[in-house]
Amino acid sequence: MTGLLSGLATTGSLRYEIVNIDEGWRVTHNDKVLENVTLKEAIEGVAGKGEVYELENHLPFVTVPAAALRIHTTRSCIDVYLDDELIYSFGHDYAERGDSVPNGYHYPILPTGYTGAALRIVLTGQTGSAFSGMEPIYMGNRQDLVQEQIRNVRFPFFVGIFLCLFSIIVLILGAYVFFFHERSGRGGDQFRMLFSAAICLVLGTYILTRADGYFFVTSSLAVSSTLEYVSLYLLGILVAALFMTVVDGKVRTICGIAAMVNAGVFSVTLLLHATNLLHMNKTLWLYHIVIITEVILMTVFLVRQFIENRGKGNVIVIDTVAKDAEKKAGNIIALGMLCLIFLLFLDIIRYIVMKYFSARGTSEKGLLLTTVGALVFVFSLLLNYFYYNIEMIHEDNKNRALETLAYTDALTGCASRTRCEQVLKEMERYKGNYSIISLDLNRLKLVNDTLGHAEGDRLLRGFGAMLKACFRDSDLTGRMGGDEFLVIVKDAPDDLCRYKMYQLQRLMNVRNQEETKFQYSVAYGYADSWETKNKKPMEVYNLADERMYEMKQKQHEKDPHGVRLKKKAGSGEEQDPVSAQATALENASAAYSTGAVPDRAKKEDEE
Amino acid sequence: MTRSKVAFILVSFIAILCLLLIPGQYVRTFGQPEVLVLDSGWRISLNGTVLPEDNPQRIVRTDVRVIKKGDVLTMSHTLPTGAGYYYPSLYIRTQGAAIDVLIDGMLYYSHDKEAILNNTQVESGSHFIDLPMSISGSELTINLYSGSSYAFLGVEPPVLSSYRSLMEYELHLNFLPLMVSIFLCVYGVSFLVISLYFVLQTPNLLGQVVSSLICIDVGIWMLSTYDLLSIIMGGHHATRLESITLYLLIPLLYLYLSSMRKPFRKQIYTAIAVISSAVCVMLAVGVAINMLPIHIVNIPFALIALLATILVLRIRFGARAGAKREESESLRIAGLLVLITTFWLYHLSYTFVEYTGLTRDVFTDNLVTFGGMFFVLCQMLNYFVYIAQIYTRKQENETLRKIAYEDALTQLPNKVRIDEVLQALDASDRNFCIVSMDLNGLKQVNDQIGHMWGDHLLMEFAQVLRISFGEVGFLSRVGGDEFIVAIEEAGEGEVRECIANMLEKLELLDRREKNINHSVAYGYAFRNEVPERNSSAAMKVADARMYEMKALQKKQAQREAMMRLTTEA
Repeated sequence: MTGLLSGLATTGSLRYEIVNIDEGWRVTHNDKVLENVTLKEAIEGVAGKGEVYELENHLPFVTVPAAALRIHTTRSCIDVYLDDELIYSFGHDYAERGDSVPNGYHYPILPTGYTGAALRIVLTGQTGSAFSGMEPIYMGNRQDLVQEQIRNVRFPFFVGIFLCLFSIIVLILGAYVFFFHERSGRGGDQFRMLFSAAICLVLGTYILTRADGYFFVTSSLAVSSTLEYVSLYLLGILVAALFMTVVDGKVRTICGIAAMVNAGVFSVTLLLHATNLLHMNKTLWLYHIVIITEVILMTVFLVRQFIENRGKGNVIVIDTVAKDAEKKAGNIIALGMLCLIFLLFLDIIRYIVMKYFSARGTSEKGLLLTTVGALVFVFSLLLNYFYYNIEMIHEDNKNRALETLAYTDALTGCASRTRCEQVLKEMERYKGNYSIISLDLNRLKLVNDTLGHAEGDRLLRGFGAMLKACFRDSDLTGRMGGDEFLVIVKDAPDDLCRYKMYQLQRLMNVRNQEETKFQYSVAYGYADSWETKNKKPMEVYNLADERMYEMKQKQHEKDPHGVRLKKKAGSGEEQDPVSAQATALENASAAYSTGAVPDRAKKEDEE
Repeated sequence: MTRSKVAFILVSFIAILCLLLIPGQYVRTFGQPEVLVLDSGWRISLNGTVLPEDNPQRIVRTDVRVIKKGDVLTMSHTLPTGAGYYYPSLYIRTQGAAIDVLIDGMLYYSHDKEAILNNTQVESGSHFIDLPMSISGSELTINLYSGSSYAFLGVEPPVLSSYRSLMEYELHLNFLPLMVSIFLCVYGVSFLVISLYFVLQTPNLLGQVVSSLICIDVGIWMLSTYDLLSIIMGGHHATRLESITLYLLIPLLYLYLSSMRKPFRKQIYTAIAVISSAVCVMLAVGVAINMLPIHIVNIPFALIALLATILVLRIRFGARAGAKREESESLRIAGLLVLITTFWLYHLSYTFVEYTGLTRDVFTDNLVTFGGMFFVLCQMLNYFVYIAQIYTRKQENETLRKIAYEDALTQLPNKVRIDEVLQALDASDRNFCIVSMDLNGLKQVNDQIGHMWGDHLLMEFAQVLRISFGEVGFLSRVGGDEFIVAIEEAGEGEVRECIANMLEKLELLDRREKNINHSVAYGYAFRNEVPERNSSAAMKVADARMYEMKALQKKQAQREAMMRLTTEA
């Protein structure tokens, strides 16, 4: 991704040649004259307030249509003379007002006949330590110069814009989630979301302004300079605050203190700036010291904490309450933050080193690190969202599988008891009419005990299949347990239940013809919701149940023993140990089973 | 998604747009570049006929309905004297027209006239023309050569200033499209990278990949439509790129729809999707290699786009819309629909402008900007909804897991669970033992002293099992009175020990609760014992042994009962 963006940043064609005027400068400073030096050597040390540098040179013998120069200045006024004629001037009005002169690029346009003309640039420092070093001065076509400069900052420009808009989206969505979704009770997430949005905005503004890429919003260099300082100060506060929400222990305390200190420094600076006592750029060194101290302190404690917690499997200690997904997500954000802080820190160090110890001085734009850091941070945020997305997909798949398991009876394929109870409860709110059929499969216990569980299961499966075949998918056919079944039909026409039961009986008759070991037989009862007073599903169910028992009673009267497994008992299955056992046991246990024991005892008593 | 939620999103989005626009405007008042907009005082003639308008923007279609390719529009303007511009540049935007710029009759700039001669596509775009130093009082003449029927309609007035100011002027005008298009591109690329990284690990990610592609596509379309590409990248490819990205949007749209669950019920829709996607890709390729002139393609493309729009509308509002649709899916469709709508509105407003000569305003100019942002907003909202829902979903799954895998009464794993465990054991090559158990007294207890006591017996027995097998075996209740324990890597001695332990505990219970029959029939078998070496065979053997024991126990119970009766008698 970074490679792709930086690839984008180097493409694009220019129409004419651009010349870097780097060598052969004559520099006058405090009556000291340096002859024939490069721009790098032109400015020694840090230029202070009122210090004047005069840079002189001759324009190269290159002709470009509509030619111009490109000069970058830092906190200083600039006057450009060509053959001792003033062609460009900037910053004196700021200096007169006592405001600080903004940084930026200048494009003095060269009049015709410029080739070989004498060029004189006068720079006047306007702040305590205004600038050190010079960015190269270029000559070329004016369009080329501007476009090339824009292309140079394309990477930070893209990232900055992206960050600003991303923050707005996160802000809206944060509000949406806050209002419309009950959250799992932990308030930290909302703050985390808010802070990440704010950081993105501030970071985006900082990157844009610092890369001189704010031109698409305002042409005013002053506005852009002020925004740069404000965003830098705000960044310190917000980063510390966000980091506080993802770490634990002492580091958390340090982050809290750091956020408050930064806020304090910012408000004092802002006050001084607003009252025109001390301008923001003059207190930058103080801010740098504060930041460096904080980062060092934090690093020390973080490393200590990391060593202590290494065994526990956490890279960084996140909220101990957080569970799996949240912990992992928090870890991702924390890593992104660490990366951002580290790269920001490096950039500040680099800035200081460049300003005071290097020949290139403040002209060097060390923005790449911060931009990459910002990108990593946003990536960590996106990854974090994505992680939730993936987790959700997993949970959804699991949910579907579990629902099938939980709501289907594994043996018969009918709905499970849990599902039946759910639907019964749902029927309470059902406005239309509905019917409930209660069924009881006869002789299950007997088959189980005599022929074995395998045969019992076969009986249940066969019955379940026939029952399901009789009804539509939208009707609920469920197994309440053991040998009890239940059917719920919504808006059934009259006589539907009777017809369906007739159908079931016919199906069973066909099956029974082929069946050698046992016979399917069922007792059932049905009831319509209008038959009851309150239309309560449990009442309807009970009514159906009562009718089922009546039927069972009648069946019992017809076949008082209720023990016949098969009219013609099977005899060819001796090779199967279980059924052999079953046949052997059949006579002995028939009487023992199915609640016959008390009767049996009585009978024995009588005997 | 309820209506209130949609309202909330819309309101908040507009609010934030305003928040973004107002500070933007405020900041801009500090730094408005100094430019001279030449919006009056023009002398305009078409093919030598003088037109009444003095502002090129006012030229409307009714006056020039007969514009043909190669027609020439000449506009002249006497530049003001004493304007303090030092080597100014001239900014002018053309639409499908070649251009000549003359100062005092001298040609200073010419663009794309060879395209008219060669009959190839004439590029639209911005021109920044460097002018000579002394321009005050000069005569500025601009000749436009029509390359299309809309070339001279609503020509934006030329602007005079320094190059940098002009560029900033253009950027300030297109401040929102610039931001949004760059945002869309970066967002699309980032998400594409992330989803491609995850796509191997997780299924159902096609939607993410395609939506990031749509973002990139719309971003590039916007950059080329608002002619921002030349500033950021250089070069004049905007017109072609605009059409290509627009055509590619259709196949992407269909891909996006197909990533949802069952988007098309009928084969015919799938056929439409495939055919129009193929046609659009061909159109894009044709335009890319300069084979097809864009104005010929426009009408068939509009039809294809209309068809696609109708399909999306059907999916959103059709017969199945009433059926339960997941929140995330309806969100995605909403985002897509808004994007499509803004595209239509944008192009309709364009046509409208052609006929009325009114300039496009901030609203129409930022329509697609809005659509693109809304699309991303819906995408992102999905993630946020997930973050909010995942906790409840996990709890739900936990409950479901219990229902699915656990026996509610004894809280032992159920048949489904033990089947899974046995399957896993079968897959391994370790030996294991299956103990099948059946409570003899349950039915009796249930019938004689009530279900309360039956449940009590079951719970007690489960507890006994936990104590005696819990350490070594996997316990389960597979039916009313049936229990199964699977013990991994166990010797016979160990199993016997466990069983003895259990019987001992049951004996104790028997003595304490005299009214309950705690007796249990059991049988066990090892995997190694059975020739099939699998759990179902072992289970059969264990069951058979259990029944054998049960039979013995029954006989003994009967004998005891007889004995008791005889002694009592």
